Amino acid sequence: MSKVAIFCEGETDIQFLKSLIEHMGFRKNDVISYIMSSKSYFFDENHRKYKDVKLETDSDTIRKILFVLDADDINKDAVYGGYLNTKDKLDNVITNLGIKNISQVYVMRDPITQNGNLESLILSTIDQQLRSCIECFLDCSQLESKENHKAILNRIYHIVYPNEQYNFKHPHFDELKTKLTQLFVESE
Amino acid sequence: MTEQTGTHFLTDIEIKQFKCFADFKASGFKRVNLIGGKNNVGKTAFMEACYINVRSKDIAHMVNAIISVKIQREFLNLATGSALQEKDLLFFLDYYKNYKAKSNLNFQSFSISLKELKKEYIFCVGNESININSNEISILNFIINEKNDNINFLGQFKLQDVKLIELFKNIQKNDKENELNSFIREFDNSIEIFKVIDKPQCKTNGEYRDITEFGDGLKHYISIICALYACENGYLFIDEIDNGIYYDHLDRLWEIILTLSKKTNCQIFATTHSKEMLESFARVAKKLDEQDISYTLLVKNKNQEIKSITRDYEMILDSIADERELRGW
Repeated sequence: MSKVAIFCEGETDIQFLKSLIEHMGFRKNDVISYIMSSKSYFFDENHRKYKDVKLETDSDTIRKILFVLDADDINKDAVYGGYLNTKDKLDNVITNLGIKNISQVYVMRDPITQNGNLESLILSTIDQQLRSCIECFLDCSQLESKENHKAILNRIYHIVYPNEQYNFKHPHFDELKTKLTQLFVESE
Repeated sequence: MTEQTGTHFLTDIEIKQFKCFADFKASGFKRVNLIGGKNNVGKTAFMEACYINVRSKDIAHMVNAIISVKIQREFLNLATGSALQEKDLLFFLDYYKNYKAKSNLNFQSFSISLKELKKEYIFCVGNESININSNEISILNFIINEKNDNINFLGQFKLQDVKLIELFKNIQKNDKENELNSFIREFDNSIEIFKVIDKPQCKTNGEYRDITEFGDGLKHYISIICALYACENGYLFIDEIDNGIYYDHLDRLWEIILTLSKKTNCQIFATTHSKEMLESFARVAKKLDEQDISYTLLVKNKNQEIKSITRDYEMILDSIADERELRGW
């Protein structure tokens, strides 16, 4: 049976995606994950993970691929930052790799600002007041690193919602859910 | 005799019209190559095709290679000289019907032609070809009894004593008895010494006992080590490498294979469908920083054609780091 592949930036991303996949009733064990470790590697057409997935797609063992990466901020990176830049650059890579017809891209971001990452997406789904508090805390923390912010946000989220998964019913998750549905359903 | 390291290695092969392979390609082979895939996907057939390819430096060697593959498979005994008849040999050739392979080393083909009730066996190696009409020429004329053979195929069936004795001679020639016995004691510390006294025997509690009393795993383990010495500057094919070997010994077996194959400049092809064997292979290669390895997964695509996925050292370690299932299922 063929499987599906998900390319993502880090371990936190794949854990989040797998919890959503499970929530949607799909089998997370059918996912072959490629963890790129850095957004910049997504744009390296010669990356060994691309060679690996090409071996699989050429043999029909992987039939669909979803690329999930952060939009980041266009003000901090005019070339690769922001939703449109990220999507355009990655679409080029996918075309050059010859896997366009089996691939989809989901750029993680705050759907309102069109910038950000997984954490921005999650923040966009929670109560406005709490969100402001967290954003304020992150600003005050003066920890500039994106990884620091991710870790802090995840910790805060699970302190605030200790018994709950993410609010997957929120419409901000709909685009991602549609991509995941297409990934699994069209692969069957 | 020393040879420049790895110059004789098989790195890529195309197989056409051989058993389950219609039009198959694989590339990226290194010094030590592990082959995986589900049951009946063609792992052993792939090994046989590679074995025939590397062995067939001329027509006579090709005839012998095809026949010896069948002998390995059927657990027959050629080495005892127990009179293989012309009809047996023709039966073996008839069984295979076709073989066509092109590699970085050689090109060979074999087919059978039936015209006007005349049956011809057509062999081609590189630019050399011959049509053998079995009514006119005996195929026995092509049988070679080769000494010091450095291309060996350890089949999945129990190895004949005579074959183990032949392999052990290379240990003796290289004065490696102590090394072998040390490896054997790591496998089973109750064994004091391995010797051939008419038959392969192991000494425990001061008494020599037939090796068959110790189980298949030990014999398989000893065969692999002996074959690694026998195949200096050659090739060793091991079908179902983990046959009978307890998982605790897998890492040590790979250490021995990776180290000795480097020392003897021997290219290894081994099959497995065991996840433990594959994990052990990757773990030991990483520990020894042994990068001259590959893992080839054989799979069937949506058209039921057999395809290969060959990963090198970096890709193997990357798959493990990302917790991707290397075994393929």
